[in-house]
Amino acid sequence: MLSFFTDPGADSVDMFGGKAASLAKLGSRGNIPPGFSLSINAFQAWADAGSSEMPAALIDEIKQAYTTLERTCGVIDVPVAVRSSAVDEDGVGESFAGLHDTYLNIIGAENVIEAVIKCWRSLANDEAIAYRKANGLDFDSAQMGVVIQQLVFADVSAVAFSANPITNNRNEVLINANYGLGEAVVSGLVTPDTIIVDRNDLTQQTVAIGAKEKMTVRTENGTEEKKVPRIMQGMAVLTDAQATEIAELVINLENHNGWPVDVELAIHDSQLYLLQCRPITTLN
Amino acid sequence: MMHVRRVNTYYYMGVTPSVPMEQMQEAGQKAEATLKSQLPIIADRWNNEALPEIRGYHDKWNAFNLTAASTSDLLAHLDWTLETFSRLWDIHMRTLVPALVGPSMLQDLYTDLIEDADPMDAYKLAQGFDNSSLRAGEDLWKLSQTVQQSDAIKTLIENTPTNEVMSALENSDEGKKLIAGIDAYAQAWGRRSDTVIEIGDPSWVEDPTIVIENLKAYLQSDSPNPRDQWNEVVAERERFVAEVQEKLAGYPEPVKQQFNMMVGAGQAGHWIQEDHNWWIDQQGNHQVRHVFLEFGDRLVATGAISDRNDVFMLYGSEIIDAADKGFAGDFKAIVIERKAEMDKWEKIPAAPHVGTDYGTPPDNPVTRALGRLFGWGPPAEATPSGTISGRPGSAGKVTGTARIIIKLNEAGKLKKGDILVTPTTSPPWTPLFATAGGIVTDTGGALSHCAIVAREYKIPAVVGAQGASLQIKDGDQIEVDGDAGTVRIL
Repeated sequence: MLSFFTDPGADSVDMFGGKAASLAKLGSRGNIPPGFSLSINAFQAWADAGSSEMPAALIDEIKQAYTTLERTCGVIDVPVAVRSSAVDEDGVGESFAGLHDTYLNIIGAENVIEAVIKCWRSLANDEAIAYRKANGLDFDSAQMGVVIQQLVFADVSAVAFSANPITNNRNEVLINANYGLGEAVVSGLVTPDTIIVDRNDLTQQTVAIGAKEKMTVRTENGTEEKKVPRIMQGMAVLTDAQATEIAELVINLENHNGWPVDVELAIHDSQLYLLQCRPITTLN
Repeated sequence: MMHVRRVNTYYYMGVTPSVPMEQMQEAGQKAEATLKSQLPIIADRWNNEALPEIRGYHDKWNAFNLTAASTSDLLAHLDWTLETFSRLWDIHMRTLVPALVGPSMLQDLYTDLIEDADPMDAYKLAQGFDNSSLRAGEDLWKLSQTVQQSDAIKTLIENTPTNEVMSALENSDEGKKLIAGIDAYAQAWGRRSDTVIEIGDPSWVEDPTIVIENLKAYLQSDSPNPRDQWNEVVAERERFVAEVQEKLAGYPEPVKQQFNMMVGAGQAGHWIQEDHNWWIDQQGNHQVRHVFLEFGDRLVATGAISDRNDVFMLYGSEIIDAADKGFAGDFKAIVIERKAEMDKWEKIPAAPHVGTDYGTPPDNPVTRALGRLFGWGPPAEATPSGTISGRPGSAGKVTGTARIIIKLNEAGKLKKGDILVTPTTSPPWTPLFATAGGIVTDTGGALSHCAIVAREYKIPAVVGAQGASLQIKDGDQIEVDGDAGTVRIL
């Protein structure tokens, strides 16, 4: 019912959902924070037991996996992100970006278990149901995996597209970036910086400094949206070198996958982390 | 571009754009970028570039033998003096703008980051750095302690009119020792005068009256060392910086770096605001004044004027013309006429501003900083009658006897715990802060000299309380609320 990203079979969409599978598939193609996934069987066991308490065996399994993750990361009480990974999301056709719940900065196995249950419940949240209806997806057969991954305390978060999703221009990489954790930029809460990079020579075509009204910061046991100080709203979030590094990464990922990619990235301690990679679902 | 115009013996300063209107925005952005690039290096530039250059000029001024110089050497020295003075003010503006904007932007950043923060708390992050104003104040207090050790000298100073103290001291060995102490103080810190804009005022080197007035104030009040609370001020800063850093622990690294950089800029800005004033405004004026005084002495020698200070009633061209003609001429009538003109206008309140009012300046980091220096914008909220609204300058509430002091030669009337009420203060006024229980000024904002030094001395201050020095009468009991920015006449 549980596999680490590096375990054989962890890249099965049917078993772990789109998000979990794509992380497993990325393998060594990016600097990915370590983590594990719960399969749809775990969800099913919980649903069969009446959707209240988590079965005892699964609780033990999660506790053990969390301890292993602590060891892998070399961090006691390693903070993690707990994200839903529905089987019918992040397929080449549809993106559920942000519709299912995500819990950040979760510390300790008990809290992870609590967050997992909340994720399972979010399969049936209003926006997700509406999205399924609108896209002709069946709700009754919806299945969900959950990803538990070390949380990188992003100083800067970015979303990058290997093709421009707005103009459909395949020769352009589009990068959105903001200070702090990724929520503010992923959820469309703020106007991030926008950088357009020419795929052929990696030159920056456009740099639009966004208003960056808010940023997601870490609190003792979660995250919070805070105002970006006025002086930093007018600054470029990414250095030229960081923008180039991101452009190169997404071009490589597209070349490897054979389809244009939409990725989530974090920069911490000058290190670029790849958090998610999925197809761009809106390109013509 | 800055313009100065003389209207009815008063000087008015105006600032106009130096580029056409259509280029304003671009020029503004460029200036802002340049300014921001200076913030992390305010202290470095002052210590490694500005100060060594300025010291070099003062060394040259101090080494020049004015009385021995030939007329042509003196004229050449005057040329160099004016050129150098202009250069000093160039350094002044390059230094002061970032030094003023640093603390102001620190306040903006602090209130942006910390919800519901008291904006004045931002300055706690920058307090407790030594500066010339504080050192000059402390040295004067130390001098007062040597007087405390001798009852005879103490009685003499207390009972002798201030302008006769120096000659009275000549009569005893103990007195001569104190004269040596006063001379040493004047050598170290005396190249300053009442204000920083008037070369007509004598510096303390020429006239030790102000030093003696301050000594009198210290003796009457048995003041503790003004630096007694220094350790507390420093500890409060360190505690507060750590506290805010802790609150920002979960914030992105670039935000933390920005905060730490701006704390550094605010700290450097605070002490440089005092130090630049000592090295440029005060000592610079002193040097220029003394070059002109030599011309004054030579004009007195030929009978062209009757007092060396009358040289300040003449235009530069008149002085140079006279020097070229062997200091010949007779300016006595002109001096009387011009003095009468100044006396006439001194009795007529000057218009606060002349010319076109272009309204509120655009909101940007520089105008915000200037507003906090001069006290622009609305004062504290309307309060019950009998209260005067100003701006918070330094926290705390205190009640005491108001002492209206317009010039430093009245400093002696301020007793320990009295409230100093004055149009404005400048760094030479710092010794009074050790005696005052609180301060009220007519002008200025949270970044004015008065507010900064009051915080260092931990005494309540209300700044920019327009009309306070006219409305409050000497001897009134008043309550100063430095948190609310209000003054109440009891």
